[in-house]
Amino acid sequence: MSTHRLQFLLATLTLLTFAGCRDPKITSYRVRKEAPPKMPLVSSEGNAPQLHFKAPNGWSEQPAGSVRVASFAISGTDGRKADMSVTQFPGDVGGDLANVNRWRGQIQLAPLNEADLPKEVHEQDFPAGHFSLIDMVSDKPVIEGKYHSRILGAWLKQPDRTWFFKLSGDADLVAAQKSAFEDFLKSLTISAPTVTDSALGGTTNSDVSTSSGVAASGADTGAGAHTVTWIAPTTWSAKPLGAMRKGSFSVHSDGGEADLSIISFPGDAGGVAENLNRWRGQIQLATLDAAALAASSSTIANGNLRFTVVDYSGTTASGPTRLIGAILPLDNETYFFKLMGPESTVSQNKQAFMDFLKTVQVR
Amino acid sequence: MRNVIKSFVEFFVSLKLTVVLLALSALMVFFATLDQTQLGVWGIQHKWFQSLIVLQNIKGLPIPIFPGGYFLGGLLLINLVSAHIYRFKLSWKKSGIFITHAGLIVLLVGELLSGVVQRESTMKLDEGDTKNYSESTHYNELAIIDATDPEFDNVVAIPDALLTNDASLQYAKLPFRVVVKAFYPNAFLQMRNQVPNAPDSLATMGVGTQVVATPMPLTYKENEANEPAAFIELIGREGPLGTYLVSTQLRPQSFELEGKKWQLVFRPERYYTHYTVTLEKFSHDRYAGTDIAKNFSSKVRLQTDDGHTDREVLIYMNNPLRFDGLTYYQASFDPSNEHNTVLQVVKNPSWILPYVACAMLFTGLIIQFGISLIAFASKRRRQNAHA
Repeated sequence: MSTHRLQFLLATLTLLTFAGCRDPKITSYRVRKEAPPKMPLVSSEGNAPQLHFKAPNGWSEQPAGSVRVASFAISGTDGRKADMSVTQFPGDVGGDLANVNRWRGQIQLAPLNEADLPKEVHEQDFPAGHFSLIDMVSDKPVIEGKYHSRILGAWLKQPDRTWFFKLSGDADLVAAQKSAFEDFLKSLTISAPTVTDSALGGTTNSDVSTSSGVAASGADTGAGAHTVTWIAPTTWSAKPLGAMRKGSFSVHSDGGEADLSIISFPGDAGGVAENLNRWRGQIQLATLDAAALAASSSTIANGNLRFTVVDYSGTTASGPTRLIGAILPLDNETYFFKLMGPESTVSQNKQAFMDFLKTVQVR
Repeated sequence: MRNVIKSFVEFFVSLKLTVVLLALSALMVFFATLDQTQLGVWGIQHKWFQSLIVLQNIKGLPIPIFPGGYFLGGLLLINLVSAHIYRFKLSWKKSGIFITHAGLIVLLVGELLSGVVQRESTMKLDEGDTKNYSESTHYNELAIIDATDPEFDNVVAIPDALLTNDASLQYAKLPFRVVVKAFYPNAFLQMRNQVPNAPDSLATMGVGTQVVATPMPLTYKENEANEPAAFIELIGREGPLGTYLVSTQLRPQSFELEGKKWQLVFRPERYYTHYTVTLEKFSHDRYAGTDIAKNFSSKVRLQTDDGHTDREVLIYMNNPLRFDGLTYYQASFDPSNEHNTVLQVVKNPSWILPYVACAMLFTGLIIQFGISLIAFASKRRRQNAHA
């Protein structure tokens, strides 16, 4: 090709460069607020008891939202703010220590150990029942790097659920609201559920599985997601789902608490082998090759569903840990059922876990 | 100078160029089809057809391996137009060829315009839901929302293309700088308590402190989605405000600054309209005993903000709603939710051009064959008359 022709070719190329370029730019706009999602994280309809209260002066009630049963905003001087939330979850939500440490984490305090817990928590009776209370102040200025944060927390255990009352925000403002917080707790009444619990003899996931539209995973954001249902034994208590989980249970025995999680990911989530090795890594076991993984797993059938089931024993920071897991590949997503915890608790619940897998249904 | 112009003209009007370009185009379609097994339809469209040069990552380096669709199509267009100007003389005898070629030009221009201006998004609605935006199927954005006003949100949207590692983004409406500490185009999120040996999180605030984000290779499979994640540090006037993990798998995270409520959310890029679409009813039938859709339709209510339009529209297969430059197709539904519809929302101002081009091609060919047929028939008649 002559030099001239080459030049023309280059000139044309430059001209064509202008076409087809997507120019990413930061934009800004003002839009009307979206209505909150219609599906609550934990159903507050049907069999949920009703909460009645008298809000102290200066507390401005906010929309309840998807998790909160009630919510208040409290403003102080200098634009300082505090937030009061009331939530309720089925079961005991992992126990007092886990819940207190969750709150401590929110204000960047180190977790407590079991022995220190009774020193921090005190008990008090109010008209609505027997409450546990805690008062925590951050040891660093965590609000905008300038102000300390404080949490006044209270929880009320009922046979099937736990109510949480949390006043959090600027430390000085929360301190000033302490008596208002106690007045609020005194004013509470909780009316009985209108409908009795499911006659199934177990906890179905019907009230929690539909709530996973809260951006838990890609599986429920696109078309093609499945509705997967199960029936858990009554001895397992349901826990809040968190951001990722489709189902979450706490499994107790003398050996301690084990955790049962149900999550799903779009597609094959990296494949069965990769996920089995991921599980092995969680209990500090070495990765295996495909043949060894296949030998370490078994397949159990439930109708048309095929679960790849493994039972591994390893260790974690909390001691000897056993993991029984099942992977259920569906056509465009994969479900993971995992029971993990102290050796004895998991062994005692192995049969219950296998029976639980038999209750899984996909629609 | 004259030589220059001459070689310019000769290069662009040559029939050899046409043949070479057509041969390369055929090869491009062949290679792109092979590549589709790796990248999926959307991936190859961008890599092979809507590009000037096809770049292949070889050991981390983008190496040009083939001319792209815009390059070949663009040159074909220039070749066709210049050959017309240079060679063809307008006469009745050649009018069919002229119209056919004009149709080809319209087709090529239409394809170029579609590639540049077409935008595809989806709108997912549950019955009773109202939305004034659709969401991109391929692009995401980091939305930083000033949610202080009880009725309105002031949104600053940063496209994911700008969220490159170590990028520092300043925007006049934000009282802080956004620094990207790490960006993962696809990531797998797990709760920290499930991964005992995980490294410390880069996040210091929000839910990210309890989540482990593991980078994953990009997926191009039809039924899988990439779920990007990023660690974003906000730096205010008086220093760092904290590092958050943002991901399309996480809910909005809130914080307060200088008396204002802010929200951080990584979500599909949104395209707002000045009207709302409300799903009133979604209905669908399946073929008996299967999950295969027989027909499905969405009854929606369309309302403009100025109140001039307020009507009900039934959208079903092959009967899209066209309004204000956007076309709403009934695309899909959520099999787990009988009351949810997925509409595909397409913006393509040049959608009419392929239809015009086809009509021109058809007319041109009819005219050209007609002229040949008449010429042939009259010649035959003359021969018969002589005989």
